[in-house]
Amino acid sequence: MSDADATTDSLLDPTTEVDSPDSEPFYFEDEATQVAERSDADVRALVQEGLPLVSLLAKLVAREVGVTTDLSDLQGVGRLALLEAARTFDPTRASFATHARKRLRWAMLDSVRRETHGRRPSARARAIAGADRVAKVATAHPPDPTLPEASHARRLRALIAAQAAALAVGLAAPFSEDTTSGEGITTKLTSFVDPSPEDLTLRSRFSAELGHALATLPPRQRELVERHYFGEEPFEDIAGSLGISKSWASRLHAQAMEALAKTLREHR
Amino acid sequence: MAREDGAQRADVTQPADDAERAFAELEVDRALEVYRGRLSAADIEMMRARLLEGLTDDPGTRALLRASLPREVDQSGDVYYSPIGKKPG
Repeated sequence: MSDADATTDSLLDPTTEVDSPDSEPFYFEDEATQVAERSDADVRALVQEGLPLVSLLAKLVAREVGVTTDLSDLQGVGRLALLEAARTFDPTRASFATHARKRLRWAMLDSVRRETHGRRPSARARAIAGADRVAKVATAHPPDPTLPEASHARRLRALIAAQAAALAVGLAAPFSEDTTSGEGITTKLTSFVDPSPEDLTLRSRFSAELGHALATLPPRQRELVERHYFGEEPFEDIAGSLGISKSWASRLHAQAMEALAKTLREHR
Repeated sequence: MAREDGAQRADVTQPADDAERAFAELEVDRALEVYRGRLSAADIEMMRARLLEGLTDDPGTRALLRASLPREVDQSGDVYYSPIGKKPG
């Protein structure tokens, strides 16, 4: 681990165990093997309870990533994720609605990323997932009630700035406007209207600024960001090739986003 | 006026109230200033919607939002004096 990577800053909670990256799995792809002991009847009851979420979240995710028509693929993904959510639900950690909402949302975003590879919905899904990833790391521990609100407000500001940076990096990543080829979601869902020439100019200029900002990051943070957002490599693959866990990669990612936000603000 | 500890406010599973939403909008708009003129209006709007939803829906960020809310203080300028010889109440 490089010194730069280990720097404690205002976004990440310094009490998090940074030297045991495998002890705290990040996000749901890490939790697939955790199956609670629950009867089929209980699983069915939870699935029934969560069913209304499937349509709701399919619409929400479709709107966020910029696809507007047939939602049946996303709903199918959502139903499978709901079943998995019912099996893995741990009532000591969150309500079922919260647990299911996160799992469904993540599964749908992941599906969009895979099915629309190289296209705008994929870039948007990656941007949204990146912002969620930052929040997950930054709120790993509840706020310390002994601290004043100004202290919490500083952390909140840093969190929002880092999430905004993740969204901006994701949106600035190159993508194809072609939605006519490929299988699955891309053949059924309609993408946004084409960007205007002004928007393309903005995007091009911002991509150049982003390139300069990325160059200021420590090497591993830069590699992680470039490979994930611009090379479309899955997080776990990058973490594996860097020899770190996904949870540790998520911390590097959060640090990178906070640093990028700061650099972009300073060079406004 | 009694101070309410931000970290102990109402359950984060309840919908965000007006004060939380207003504070969240203020902070999100502040963060997005960096990107105005750099990204398209549609992209900015998407970012705003996503950030606001994350702040008010996710239990972790919601707890931080609640803890960050400016606490209410009495700004009337009035000072309370207890009548001499009488017990307050």
